[in-house]
Amino acid sequence: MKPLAALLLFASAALAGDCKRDCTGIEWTLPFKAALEKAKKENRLLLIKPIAFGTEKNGGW
Amino acid sequence: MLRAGPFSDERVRGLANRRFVTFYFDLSDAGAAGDPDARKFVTKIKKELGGGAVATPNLLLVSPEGVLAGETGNYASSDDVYAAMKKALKDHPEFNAESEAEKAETKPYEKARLAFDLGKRKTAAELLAKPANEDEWLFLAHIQRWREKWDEMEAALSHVKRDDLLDDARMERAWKAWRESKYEALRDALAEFPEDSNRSTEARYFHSLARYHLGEKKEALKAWKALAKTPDEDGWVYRADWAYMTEKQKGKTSFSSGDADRSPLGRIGYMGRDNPDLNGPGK
Repeated sequence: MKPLAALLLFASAALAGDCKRDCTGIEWTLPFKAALEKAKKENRLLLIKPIAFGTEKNGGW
Repeated sequence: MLRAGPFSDERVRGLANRRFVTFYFDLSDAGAAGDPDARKFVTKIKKELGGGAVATPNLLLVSPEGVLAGETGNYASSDDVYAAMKKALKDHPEFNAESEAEKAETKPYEKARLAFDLGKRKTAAELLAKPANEDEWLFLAHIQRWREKWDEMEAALSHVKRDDLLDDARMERAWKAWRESKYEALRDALAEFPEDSNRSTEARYFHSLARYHLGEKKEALKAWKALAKTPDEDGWVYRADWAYMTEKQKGKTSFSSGDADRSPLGRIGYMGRDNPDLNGPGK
């Protein structure tokens, strides 16, 4: 079971914004927990772009 | 398309970074940018995004408590996205207050930068009425360029003589040629632009755009393709990819992640809107 657990943990970490970041100059805050915390602390609106057509590790979406 | 268009627009970027906490995620938890916490938060607001097959989702402006303050379509223009952001802030002024750091700022340059980012360009120019150095003169020229106050821009640029700022001055002047549809002047202004300049990708994009409008489409497409393949991605690289694909995908109506014919950046295509620059400035 241990090797499987290690694999799942790795997969979980890769989901937390591990892909190449967007480079437009927008200062994205990832993952969502961090973004929500920041919005609450700074009293700001969240600007959220949900993506439905898939994201790739090379930054494509 | 959002990244090549609105997200690369300086107005959208400035306002987003000043007044919003920006976040993107894949609705599929298994995607590279998947985020289950975000999916749960968003599907409470937009239940239709919780299904297996969904339409391209809107850009959402949401309070931390989950109240929708505004939204705009995925294929909206830069003007429309910017307007939606401004409206959300107007409707919800409680999220538009100056931060403590902004309140404490006393330097004219920083105050002008803030005003500019918030879209108050006239105020920004007034705050920078007495530039203290060449960097500030350049920024004043940049503000006047956005205001299309060309004489004022040129007056400010006349103070910019430092070697490391000359490329910036050159690029600002090129914008005037673009806005006035003077494509020969635009092409000539940006010929042989230094590749190590901080404005290099912007200059290469517009140089190709000038050639495109002068009828040298083949050369323009070749240059955009090369620009889109540069390793240092930025908004101009994305926009070059969009321009290239606007020409290459003419007439295409369906897109699939299985498409082999991808853009130079590896995108499956650009749905919804063509790159407007191919129709000229402000059209």
